[in-house]
Amino acid sequence: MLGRELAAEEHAARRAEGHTEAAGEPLLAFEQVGRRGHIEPFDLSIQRGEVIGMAGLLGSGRTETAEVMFGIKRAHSGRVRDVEGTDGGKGADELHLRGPRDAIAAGFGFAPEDRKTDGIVAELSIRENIILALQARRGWMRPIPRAEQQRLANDYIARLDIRTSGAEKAIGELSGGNQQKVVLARWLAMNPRFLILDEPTRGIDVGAHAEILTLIRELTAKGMAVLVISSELDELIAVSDRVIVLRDRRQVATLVGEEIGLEPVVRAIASADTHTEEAPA
Amino acid sequence: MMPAGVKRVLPQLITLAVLVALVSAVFPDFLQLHYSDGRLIGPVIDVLKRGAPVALLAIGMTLVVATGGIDLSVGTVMAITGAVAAAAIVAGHGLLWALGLALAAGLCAGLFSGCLIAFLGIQPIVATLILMISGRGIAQLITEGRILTFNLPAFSFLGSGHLLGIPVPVWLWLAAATLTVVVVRRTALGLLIEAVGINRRASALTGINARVILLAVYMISGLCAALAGIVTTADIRGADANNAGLWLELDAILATVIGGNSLLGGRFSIPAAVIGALIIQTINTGILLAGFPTEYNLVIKAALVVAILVLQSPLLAGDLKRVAARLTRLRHPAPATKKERASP
Amino acid sequence: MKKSLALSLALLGFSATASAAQVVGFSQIGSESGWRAAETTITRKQAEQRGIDLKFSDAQQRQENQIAALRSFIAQGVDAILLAPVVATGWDNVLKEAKESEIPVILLDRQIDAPKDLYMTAVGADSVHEGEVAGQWLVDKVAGKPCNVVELQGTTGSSVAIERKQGFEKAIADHPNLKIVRSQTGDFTRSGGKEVMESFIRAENGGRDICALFSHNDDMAIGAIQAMKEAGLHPGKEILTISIDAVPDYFKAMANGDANATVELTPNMAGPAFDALEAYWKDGTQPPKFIQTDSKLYTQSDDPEGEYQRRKDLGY
Repeated sequence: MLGRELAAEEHAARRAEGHTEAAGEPLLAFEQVGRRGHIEPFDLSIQRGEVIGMAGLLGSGRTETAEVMFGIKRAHSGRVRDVEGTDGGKGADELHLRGPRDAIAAGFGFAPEDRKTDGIVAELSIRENIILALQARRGWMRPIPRAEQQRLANDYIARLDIRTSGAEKAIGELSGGNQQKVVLARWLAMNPRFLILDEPTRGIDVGAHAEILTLIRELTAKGMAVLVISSELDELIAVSDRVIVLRDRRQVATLVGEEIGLEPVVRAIASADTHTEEAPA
Repeated sequence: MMPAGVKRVLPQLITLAVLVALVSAVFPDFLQLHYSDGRLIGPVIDVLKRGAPVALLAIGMTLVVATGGIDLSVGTVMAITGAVAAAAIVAGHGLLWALGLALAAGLCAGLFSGCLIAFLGIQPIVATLILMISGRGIAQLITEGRILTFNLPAFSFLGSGHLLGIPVPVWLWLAAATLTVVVVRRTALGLLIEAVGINRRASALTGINARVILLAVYMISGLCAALAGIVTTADIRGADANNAGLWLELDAILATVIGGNSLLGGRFSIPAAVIGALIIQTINTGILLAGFPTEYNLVIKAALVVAILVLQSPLLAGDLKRVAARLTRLRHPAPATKKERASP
Repeated sequence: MKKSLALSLALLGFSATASAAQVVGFSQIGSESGWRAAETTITRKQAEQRGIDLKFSDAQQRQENQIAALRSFIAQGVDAILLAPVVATGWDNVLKEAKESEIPVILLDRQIDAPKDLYMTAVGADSVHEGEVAGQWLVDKVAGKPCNVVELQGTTGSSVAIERKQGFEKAIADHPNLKIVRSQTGDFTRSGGKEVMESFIRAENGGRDICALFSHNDDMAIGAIQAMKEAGLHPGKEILTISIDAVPDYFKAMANGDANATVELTPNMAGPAFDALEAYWKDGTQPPKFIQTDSKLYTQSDDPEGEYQRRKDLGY
């Protein structure tokens, strides 16, 4: 009962937020975006400088949502509006995300959940992994000069405190936390507007854990919007401005400000199935 | 840059040196060179010249293998392009038309295989097998099953002519290898090929257009096969659709592997693969010069290749990972299955 | 004389008894070489000349295609079948079917491993004999002078290569002045012949120690001739060149003085086959189980230019 009220309430609040609330300038609006069999149509507006947390059980559709948002899986319904617009919020352009390349061109970044199979290119060096997305965007004809590559790599190794003997070491030889930092560096080098992090702290040591959370805060302070998917609810609650809860492939709750807490999030995640069915789509 | 480059091909150079010593033991005049009629003559020059087709094929094959793929069609593409060139000459067209049409045929062949692989997601070994089998029929249709001979000295020059005392085919593979190395290393193409070969999915997620990369490597491979076909056809002044390039795809793959390139994809070296082609040709020429009965040809070749592959592994800077990779390769002979997950 | 009489009688007989021409099915291996293309061309011509309706089927080097073609010929109720078998084994069943339908089968060019009663006869050349003819020519040509011979073998292990080598060695066995100093396989191809010849030239003092080349087929010899010329040698003069097959391009080389002799492997296998069939149709004459074709020797004095002109459009 409560879950349903919450969901309805937050649905309205979120809409209001998207248009009027001044938590940040509006950036993007996902409107009724969905994909049959993967994720029910959802609305989500994103502001500059905010951290959106996404919670839910395994199989609740979190990763699928991220994949649809990044164009990895094509949406079957809805539209994505670039509210900020490419030239200073002048127009509200519709984005057509037919693949990661479109999403990247729109200023998105995505650090996937399965770092080993989807994130790192194991046998390439740290330097090459960092410049990979940047190089892909420039195209093969315009290689990034070697000196520039080295500068970028050394910069990020220092800034993110990547523990390595050097930029030429293969990324596969690093620890999980340091690999994750390299993947983050790859996207930071692109200076994205909207960064999606799927389980950014899974399988990494406690020190790197805290560093990554701090980094997320720093990035949003500069105006970047970050969507964090995490099963570790404590850290999700700590880092998020807004928490979206998914269950059975649909958004069932959105918590903002004071509402964000372990207990409400757990309650939304675990509500009985009957509630899910009655919840507004 | 240079020291790293030399270090990469050092195992291949050592292998080649050992092999040359071995051949010299059975044929003492192997290293003898003399100059007559404005040409350098000697067994070593024969190796450089006769190694041209496989060296050319190995250039393209290395890029294909770097993406985790394989191109079984190159031998057949040699037959097709040779037939196209010969047919163009017989029909009365000039040198440029013959070359242009042959190269275009090679590009088309690469485009065909590349499309099957990049867009339809067909496994490279299957996709290129299609052309390997059907292509020879296409070549036979063009030549009507006979050896299509022609008389165009300018074209024959590419197969048996000399330039500055060196056979033209040698210049051709040197130029093709240099050009390809410059293109892939001075642009970002090499890095993108390696990234796609190591992890296609992760590469696609960073915005690399993996399909275009795959298309590109198969087209380059087709182009290299066309050059090899031109050299072979020009050499015997005739297009032999039944035999041109027969089984050479296997020698090209072998050259690539002897060059230390993993069939699983990833890091690659074109110079090492080309030296690999010369290693194979040194074995072939050595066998011919040694004068053993022909029944031993294949046994000797196989024994030497096995010895090279075994000995070369620990030589690679004691890199145990490579040994492990080779073992996995033995256990999973089908190339590139693990990393061949479709791009999103 | 007797033969042509029988032939004309046979033709008369047919025109009198049946208005429909005899139908013969021909299952060809495929277009594996120019020689085979010529065999197809000549078979068609022979059939046309004799008023035989030839049903042609190209097997594209696959036995299953040949078996399917044979079954279809049997179903059509042809009067005879010509078969150029792609492999030696696996023919028993389909040949039994032909036998049950009383359709005579004649093998062309290649033999098979099957009971001899399953086919009428086999027409082909004797490869050992071809080698002998080539060897005998060389024996006569050098007339006792010492001569180092290099040999270009066909594909290692192929019966043609083994037998031609055997025949050649038999012919020179009693002539110690003739010695095979180098022997390697050129896989029956031009490029193979050229590459191996280059190595012979390197190994034998720049080719100066070579007196003669014996090649198991003309294509390899043509490649070898190119190699010799590129090395500044004069094939046909400094190095005697003898080969087997008699393809048009080799006649051209002979006409140019670059080659000395070749032994013909006639592509006209159909002629003797049709002769045998016509005799059988006429009065039931059973031919012998093997009909050997001529292995005619051609030298530079046999009008090589004319032979080239006669052969160049046969599809070689």
